[in-house]
Amino acid sequence: MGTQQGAGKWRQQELGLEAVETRLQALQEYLAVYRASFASSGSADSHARVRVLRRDVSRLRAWGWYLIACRDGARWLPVVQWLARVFSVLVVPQRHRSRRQQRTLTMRHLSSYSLVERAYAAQEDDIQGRLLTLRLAQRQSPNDLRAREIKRLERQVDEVVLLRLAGLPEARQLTVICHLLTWTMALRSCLGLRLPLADVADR
Amino acid sequence: MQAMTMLSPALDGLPRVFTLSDLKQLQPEESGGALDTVLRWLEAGVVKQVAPPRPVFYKVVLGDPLTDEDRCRALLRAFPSLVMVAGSALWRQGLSRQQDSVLECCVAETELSCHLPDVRLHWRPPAWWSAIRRAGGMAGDYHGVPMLNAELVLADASTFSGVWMPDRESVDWDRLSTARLSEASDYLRELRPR
Repeated sequence: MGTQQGAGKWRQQELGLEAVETRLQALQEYLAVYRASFASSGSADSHARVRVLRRDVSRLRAWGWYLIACRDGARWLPVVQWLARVFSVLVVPQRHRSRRQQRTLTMRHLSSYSLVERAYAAQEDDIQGRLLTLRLAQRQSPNDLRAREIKRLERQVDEVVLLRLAGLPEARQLTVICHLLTWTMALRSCLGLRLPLADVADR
Repeated sequence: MQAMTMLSPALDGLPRVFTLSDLKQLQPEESGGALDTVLRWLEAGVVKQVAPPRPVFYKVVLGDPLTDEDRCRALLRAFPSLVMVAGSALWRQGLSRQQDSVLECCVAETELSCHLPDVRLHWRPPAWWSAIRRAGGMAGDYHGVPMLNAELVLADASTFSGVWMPDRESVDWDRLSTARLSEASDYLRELRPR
């Protein structure tokens, strides 16, 4: 029983990490295009987009680092979790803007919680997209190998949904974790140390 | 048929190009059913997947082909790294008198299959985007799709084969700078496939 729970938790951590890596990859691609546009036009609009995206990339990388630490049982993890509990009372929930206000903004500033939740939602959509392609092919010409792959992906979708709905810490604690680790990463970068998920982010 | 009639209000409520996430927002109470709904639409041929397996779709309407705006929107939602290149970029900047027959774009993704009509995608290495940034090689956008400037278009076409370019005499050479063309070629030279 304990082994099953452990395996389930490990699978969820891997899935969460995969969602973060996939989303990081997409954000990096958007960032590359926006940076190229900004270098050519110098417009305030492009600059704002670049700034928002860089911030999102940093926070998502920080969350990815936290997931790696959870998976590997890092010794500093209890300290970060304790700090998150203590400082979460200081976090002011992000005010929801009206639709009209959102339209006037160049790009929406997402809370850390929304950013991570979106990464998981995007992963769910990506797996479902793969599922659709496979199901369509399976109806046209069924085969066992594809049927097994469909079953595997269906299980993955259920796991990602569960992860998104029940596998995230409380929003304010998540915000503190992302900020703490973002600052730590900035410090590591200044000291010339290797950053977590650097291979994904710099691809 | 009855099922299709039941589903059509949801389809009518969606834009010409939509994602799975758009459909889930339209029917939040049955987000689990969104997948089945799209599968039925795909089987019925009323929608197509833009670039399988990405969850982006467009509605197929007989006698009403996709506009350039629709194609650009679909591509932007499926490919974050999208940049318009080659004769397509020249024509849309008014630098060529010869119109392209397919929209040519570059992406960083290696999976290039795309079901959009009259679109051709090309792969470029990630360093290509850095080179474009260093060269300041973008010239605005077309329906949101960033376009390479004329000099970079020419440098890119000579570095990577397989893109369509207009005939020499169709290009407005007076509006191109030789110095910038030489600079652009330098930026892309190291990316030339061996």
